[in-house]
Amino acid sequence: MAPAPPAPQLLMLTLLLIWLPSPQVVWANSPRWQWTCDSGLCVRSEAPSDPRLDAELEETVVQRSAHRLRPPWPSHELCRLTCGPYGALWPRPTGHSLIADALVPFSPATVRFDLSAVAGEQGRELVDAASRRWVRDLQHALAGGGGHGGGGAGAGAAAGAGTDVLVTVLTRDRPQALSWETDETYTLDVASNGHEVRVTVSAQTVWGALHGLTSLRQLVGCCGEGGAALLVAEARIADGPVYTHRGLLLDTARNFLPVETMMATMDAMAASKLNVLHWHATDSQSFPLLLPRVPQLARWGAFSARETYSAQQVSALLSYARARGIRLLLELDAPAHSGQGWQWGEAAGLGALALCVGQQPWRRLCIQPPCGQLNPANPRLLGVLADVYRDVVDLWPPGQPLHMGGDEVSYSCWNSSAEVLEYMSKRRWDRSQDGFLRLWAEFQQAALEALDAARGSSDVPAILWSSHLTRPGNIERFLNSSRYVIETWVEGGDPLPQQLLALGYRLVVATKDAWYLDHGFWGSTRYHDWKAVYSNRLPGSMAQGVLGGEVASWGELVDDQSLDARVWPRAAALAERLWSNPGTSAREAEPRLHAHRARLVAAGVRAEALAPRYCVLNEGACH
Amino acid sequence: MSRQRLLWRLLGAALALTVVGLAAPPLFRLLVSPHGTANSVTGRRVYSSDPGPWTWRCESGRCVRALWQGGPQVSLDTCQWTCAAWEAPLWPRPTGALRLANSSAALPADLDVRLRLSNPQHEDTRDLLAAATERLARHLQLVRPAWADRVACDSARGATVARLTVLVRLDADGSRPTGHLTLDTDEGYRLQVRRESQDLQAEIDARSFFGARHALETLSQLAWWDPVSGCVRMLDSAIVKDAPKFRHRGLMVDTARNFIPLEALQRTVDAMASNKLNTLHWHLTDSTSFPYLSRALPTMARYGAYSPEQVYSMDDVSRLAEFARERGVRLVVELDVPAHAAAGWPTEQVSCSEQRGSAANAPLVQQHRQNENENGPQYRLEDRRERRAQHGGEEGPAWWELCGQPPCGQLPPADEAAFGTLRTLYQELRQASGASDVAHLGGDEVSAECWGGVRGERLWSLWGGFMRRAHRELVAASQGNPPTAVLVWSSELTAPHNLRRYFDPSTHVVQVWGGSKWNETLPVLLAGFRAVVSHVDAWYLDCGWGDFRSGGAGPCGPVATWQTVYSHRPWAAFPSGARSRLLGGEACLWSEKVDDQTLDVRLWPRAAALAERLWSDPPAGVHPDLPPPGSPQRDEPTLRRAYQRLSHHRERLVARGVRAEAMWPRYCHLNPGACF
Repeated sequence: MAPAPPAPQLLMLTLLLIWLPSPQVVWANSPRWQWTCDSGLCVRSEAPSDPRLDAELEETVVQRSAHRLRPPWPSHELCRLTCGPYGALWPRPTGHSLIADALVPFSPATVRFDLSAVAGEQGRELVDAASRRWVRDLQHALAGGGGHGGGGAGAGAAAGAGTDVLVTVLTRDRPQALSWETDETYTLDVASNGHEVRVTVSAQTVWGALHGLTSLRQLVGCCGEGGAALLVAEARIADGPVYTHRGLLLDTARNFLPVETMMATMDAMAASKLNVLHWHATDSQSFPLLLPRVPQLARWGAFSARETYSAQQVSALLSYARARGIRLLLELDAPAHSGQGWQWGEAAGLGALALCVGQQPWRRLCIQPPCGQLNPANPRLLGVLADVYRDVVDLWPPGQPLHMGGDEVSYSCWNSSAEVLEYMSKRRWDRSQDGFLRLWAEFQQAALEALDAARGSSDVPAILWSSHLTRPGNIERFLNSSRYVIETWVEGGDPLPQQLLALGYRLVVATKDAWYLDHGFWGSTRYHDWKAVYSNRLPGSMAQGVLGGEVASWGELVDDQSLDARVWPRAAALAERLWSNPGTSAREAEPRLHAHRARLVAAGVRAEALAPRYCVLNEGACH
Repeated sequence: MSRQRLLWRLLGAALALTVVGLAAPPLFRLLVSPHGTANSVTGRRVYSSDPGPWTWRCESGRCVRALWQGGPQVSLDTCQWTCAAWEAPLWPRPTGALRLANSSAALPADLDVRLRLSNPQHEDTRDLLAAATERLARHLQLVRPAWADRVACDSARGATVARLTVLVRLDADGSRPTGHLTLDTDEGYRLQVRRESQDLQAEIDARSFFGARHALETLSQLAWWDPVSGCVRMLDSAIVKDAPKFRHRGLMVDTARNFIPLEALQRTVDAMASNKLNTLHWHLTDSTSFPYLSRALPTMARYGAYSPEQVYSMDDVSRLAEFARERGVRLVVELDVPAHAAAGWPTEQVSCSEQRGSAANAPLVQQHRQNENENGPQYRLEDRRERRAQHGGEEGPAWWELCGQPPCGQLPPADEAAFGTLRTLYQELRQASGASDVAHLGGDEVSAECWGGVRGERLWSLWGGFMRRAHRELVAASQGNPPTAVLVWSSELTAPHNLRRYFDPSTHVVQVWGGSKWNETLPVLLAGFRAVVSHVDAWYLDCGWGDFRSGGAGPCGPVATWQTVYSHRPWAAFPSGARSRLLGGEACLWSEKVDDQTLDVRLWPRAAALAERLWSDPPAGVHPDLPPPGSPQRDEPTLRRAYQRLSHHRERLVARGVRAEAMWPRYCHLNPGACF
């Protein structure tokens, strides 16, 4: 091939020589695609081949920092940034959202942050750390962290070139603990003026400000001259979540997940404005929490000594979560889903702490091997639980609810224990469903009291899964609506959520046939794709008592090898449902979710592809 | 108060246990620095190599976890390897005699692995064997987990060897190369391992490089990590006689819906080699993209690739083919024509490439991949024009009126320029991929609508004529070395009324991809043709994840679990004559919703399940070679007996850098038999 290219394409050639595996092939004659925004969709066309126009276009692409870049766009990514009211934002803002169709180049390393108007020293520390992450993550993504096409060889090397960017962050309140009441709203303004871009993130709380920075990240694309980052030149966004509980459940009991994997997941959650990591830490299969007061639980219950979480690691997870505006919601499932880890009671002189542990054939005694259920007839169990709760209270910030599990209790297990039956007959409870229900409710009440005692407070609500105990006819007998939030995991058409709302209970919703991410791989379940996740509506508003929802990644068939693929981008689809609760369909959302998926991938998250890349590059062509 | 005291006492007891553990390894092992001194910085128990409070006992051929109460502690892997030969975690299971000792030797980190040939061999064979031996050595290194790299091997526990000598005896003419895989290649081998003091010797008998390579693969599987001794161990005496039941054991990967980088394809080939799969079917191009950067026709990739860096050059193809050959895998490149072709082709060489995205839902998208339809193949596209009218049509047809998946595009039935292009591409790809005896013409899902609504005989003759002509171009491009097994996808053209009219049983092989309940495979075989099975409801690994289109009929599904993949055995009832023409099978990974990010988790361990199905083909019910009469496992279904071995193999794949999915809760792995 002739190596001499036409002069105007020198830049392109230089890049291609770096990229191409076969250096003798020159892409000088390749078509240049361009994208323009038409009715909210980016449309691809072939750029004009007239050399005069070519030169003009080239100048547009490589022009100097002072100038804004305008459409037509040389890559789909840049078109998406500015197309439609929401550009590439995910989740989409709930207030106004204006994004100009112009970009300015800048170098992430030179972005300055003015944090003098952030309330409180802690607040400044949080925003300072977030701003450093912002720069680092952007540099990582620009350096080719896995993105497609138009990638920037030598990105970030555009020292000196580009516009000055000054980000001013204002918050009014000193940082408080995250809760269901936290104000997460923010406004984000981007204004360009000659050689300077002024960004203002304004929020009531530091947590809102972190969301503002996340949105700012989503106004940046790649790449201008020398790999410079490109920022939307003008934007005005006002935003805040519809629901305050936006969660992802990770199960570390069926299969262990390393701390680093959980941290990486939290990064992706923060990038999607999810704010609750529901940690289903223990189950009948394993007890990986290495608790200072009761190390026996992990010693007996962990798969191996490596597959544990030490107190230090839990603390590290907690601070990692807080730094990202995420609550780490611990679940210690009880009395069912407890087996491995509880076997040592008899040898220690405490009697049987759990029953049916690992018993076979398991189908008689539980729903999933290995069986195991706490022994409510053993008063010493509560002493052990009290120590477990003390460790939890020591580790977690004050006021954080504990998820106490409470699902899938097997009466047949208790019914097989002479000790339990004797206890029940002493209490004059018969072996009917009602008798076992009373036994269960008594255990739940005692466990809550032990937790309250460990905390020294009985004001913090606890969370329970919906169950036999929470049926409309039972729940008011046993569970006080001021003390319990119920996480419903029924199917979409089930009336339970409305019934519980009518009874005054607050809910977290985990719709089984839409938000259970493990479905599709066992039994007769079917996989719920991102559109099913996105399209699932909540059964009521915040005002009606729905705090939000969760997608659940149950861990039977998932460990860190495939966690990302199971969770992303479907958890992001949930994030927009809960943050924005849009009235529009998945089709409207799709181009933005493609962009968000690409951002996650660039950040190192192994998110699934949603469609052939053809459909990404040709918005609307695959409907 | 008393409760409090009791708990303190308990905690004290736990601490005392810890202290005892320090004195009496290996309850809690100390981290040992490379210089052999105990790490006293922390003084705390170090969990990284703690085998825990458990030991495993071999009971009636199954390893049972029990609390360790003194005596020798046995790790699960050590138990699994020494308990019973039929439970030994070899994958795929050898088909011939299998004799495994219950003793092992520790392999040092600096194990000296040597290759010796007992008879002179062609230079190419020698190079290939040397590369395969290097791969063996690398895999033996990977047996030790990365986190355990500072754990010292306690050599006091049993024998340690210093050398592993691989002695290869090829029953082949040493003057000729044996490294060209054909459908006639003998892939069988015999492997014998024995130890003489510090020397571990592996004797391999085979008839080709490929058999010897499989033996090395088996050899690499005989090693495991033992957390109790902190050593990598290997069985020190074994005899394995083995050969595959099927000669075509394939995996198809689509790089056109989404691009998959060359390194990811290499990683996939590497994992295939670990499973003795031998064919990578590369669905290189489709209507969505044309990532092949032809030397003669680079414009096709310029227009058809997703981006300049998402291409494969001719050198890339050569590199992958050679990488695959070293691993016993043949590369079969498919340029799908005449349908599934649009991107990259000159507009005038593509029919119906102009179509709009539909604003309305596409109500009746092609049902081809809908396996829930059990009535048989429905190759005729619905007449969708009426439906457009019903949907208040815009100008021009929507994609769903013209083809099964956007974007549409199909080469015209007889366009000389297009055939010339094909010949050029075939030439380059045959040259680059090593001129295998197996080739693939594509040939599926031709849309009558796209060719202007031709129907019946007219359609078949145009389509059949195209396939014949494409075949001629392939032969011409092969320069005197034409492929002897030319695959085509099953279609209306391969139905009994058309098959012999357009295809030749001595050359063509039908890759059957319809639903497994369709009566499609046996008629092909009975017509005298060879076949490769890829039933959509069992071996399409992309099915079940939902449709990328927002409208249209449901995609194929549900997800084929590894159990489904493993249990699929459609040939069980075939007459033996027909069965003998079945070359094997392929699992297919179409990439609509897959790219490099999730490639591994889609493929593994399901493709491993396929590998054992095609290599060993264990029958359902009782396997004569397996547990001896009286063993409790003897009456277990074949599938159940695969769980534990596959779970170990999955860990092996992960250790080798493959992101294979978990198969069950880890509890089940640690407690063999407890989760059924």
